Amino acid sequence: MRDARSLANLMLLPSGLILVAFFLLPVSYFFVVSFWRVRSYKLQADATLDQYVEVFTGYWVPLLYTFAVALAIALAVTLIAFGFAFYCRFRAGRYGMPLLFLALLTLFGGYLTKIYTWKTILGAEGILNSALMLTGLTDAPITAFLFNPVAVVITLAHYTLPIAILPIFGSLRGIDEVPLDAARDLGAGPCRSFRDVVLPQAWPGLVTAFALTFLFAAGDYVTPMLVGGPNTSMIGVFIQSQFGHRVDAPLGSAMSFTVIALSLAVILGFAGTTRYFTRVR
Amino acid sequence: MGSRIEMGAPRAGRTAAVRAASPLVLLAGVGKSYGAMTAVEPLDLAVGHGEFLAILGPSGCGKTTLLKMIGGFLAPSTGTIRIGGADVTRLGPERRPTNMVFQGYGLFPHMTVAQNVAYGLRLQKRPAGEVAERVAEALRLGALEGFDARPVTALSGGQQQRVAVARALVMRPKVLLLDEPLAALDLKLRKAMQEELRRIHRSIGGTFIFVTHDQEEAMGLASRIVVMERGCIVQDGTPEEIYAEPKTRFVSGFIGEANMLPGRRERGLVRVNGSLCFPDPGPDGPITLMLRPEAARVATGESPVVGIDSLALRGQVRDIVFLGAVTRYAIAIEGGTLLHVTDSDSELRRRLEVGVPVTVHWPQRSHRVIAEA
Repeated sequence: MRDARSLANLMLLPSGLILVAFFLLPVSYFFVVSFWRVRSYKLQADATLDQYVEVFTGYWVPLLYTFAVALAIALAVTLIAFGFAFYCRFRAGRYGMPLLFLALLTLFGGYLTKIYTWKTILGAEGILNSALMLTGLTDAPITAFLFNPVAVVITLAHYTLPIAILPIFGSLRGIDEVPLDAARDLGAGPCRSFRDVVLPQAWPGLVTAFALTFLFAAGDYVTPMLVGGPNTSMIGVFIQSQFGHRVDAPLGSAMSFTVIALSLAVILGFAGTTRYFTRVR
Repeated sequence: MGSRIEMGAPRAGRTAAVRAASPLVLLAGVGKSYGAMTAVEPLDLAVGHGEFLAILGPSGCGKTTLLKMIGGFLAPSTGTIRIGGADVTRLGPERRPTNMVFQGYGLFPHMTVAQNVAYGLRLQKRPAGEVAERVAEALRLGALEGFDARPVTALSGGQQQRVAVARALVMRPKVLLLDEPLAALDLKLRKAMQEELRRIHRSIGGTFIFVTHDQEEAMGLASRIVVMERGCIVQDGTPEEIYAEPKTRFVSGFIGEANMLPGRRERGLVRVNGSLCFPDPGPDGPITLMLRPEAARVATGESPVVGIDSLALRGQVRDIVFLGAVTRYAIAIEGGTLLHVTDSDSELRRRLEVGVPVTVHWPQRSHRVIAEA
């Protein structure tokens, strides 16, 4: 027994070391740095909250914008992913697994590829405009498709969808079908048995999918730069620039930890709300 | 006992007259087919108040399909189903006065024992006091007092089974349906649960219909057995009737152990295995002689004493298996066919060993001649 446990601990050691060396230590370092300041392009150890004040006074617009966009993406993607996973698990029969595989196949297309794909579809010379002009619905290309928040939502939603489908499908696959019959037998209609039996058991998958999608969207800075247009920069763009040409690691760190803390709050909020609505009554 | 859990029907005798006068469940021409594949041939079945009916058959015989049609989970392709006089053929399970104990139980894994049992009553929006009272009652009936707050996933197989029964009975169904209720339990637990189910049936006097492939389970539980084969009911009767007078070769082979000897009947004379010949009225043609292992005796010596009415076959002991209460002998008769005979006589066991010549004999009334179609 003790041998088995020490063996298990031993096997955890490599991943533990990697986690500490390449995640915990750097993150702790930047957490400390977020209380420092920069003077004449040099880091100076300090214990000030100035950077956090700066985040909330100078960057609250991109912060708000980021969370609004990320929330919209995460909610939409979680909903669509649930519908798709539910269909694969309960309605598609033997086509369920191939369908799931098809959805996951899109993960083979790279991240940048997908962004450029959407640029191609939504752009002035894009497929959508060409089609509209060809059918005579419009005379000139509509430039409003691209470089706006909707384009960011569409692009990120498209990218994160398969990532959200997986955990939801995983939790749905674990649901036995006999209790669904039992619920009907005891008088529940399809909606009741869905709400009372399926949803509570799918809840962990829903929260995981929401968290993955939300974190990805809130932290992304490439998509908004490429399809989001000039006035729609998300917080990730600003964080990147603090560490890039602005060389202001303390402000960048403060921004990062603000985003991390707020993201955690949003995810916990989502988890709590959905738990409340799926609780056993 | 005075249990207050009652099923939705008055108590009634189990006599055939009552059964025929007002059957609780009445199936008329009910059949189910999937395209060209027929799962259940159109059949009639009447189940009376208070009956404990077993639908018995091998896997794939259509017994579960039949039960699911009674419960409303499958719509029959033909025929009508009436329960308590009302036509329920087109109603879903949520609108039938039946409740089911599912194979594998189908408990809600994210709920406690009490939440599972209360679920149906909650759906009916019963007042909280009544729900609590009836749940407590059902838990008491299932010997589950004190388990209320346990998650069902933390229960043993036998306990889960009792929760499933309590969850169904708390609804006071007119008919309780059980789909292979004991299949997932080990032998010892199965015996205990059989007693438990009999006790519950006695104490509430309800109507139970259950499906099983295990003939011992059917014999041990049911007051009436319906044997199914390939979508048809091949025999319907009390356990005693079916054991003693199986109508077909299939039934005799399926219910209990049986020796089967092929033979022919010509002008009222049956010939089996070359040497055996006895009068037995009936139509000419091929027959099967069915002989239960416990109905035959083994005798040693050159000219053993057998009764006037008895039939005898000579043979040789091939195998001896001590089973505890009885010993089973495999005896090769002339022509090489093996006959199995069980006997509890320990003195006989000492005298016999593999290779010893013996005579197998039995009184004529204890075998059965089954005409082959």
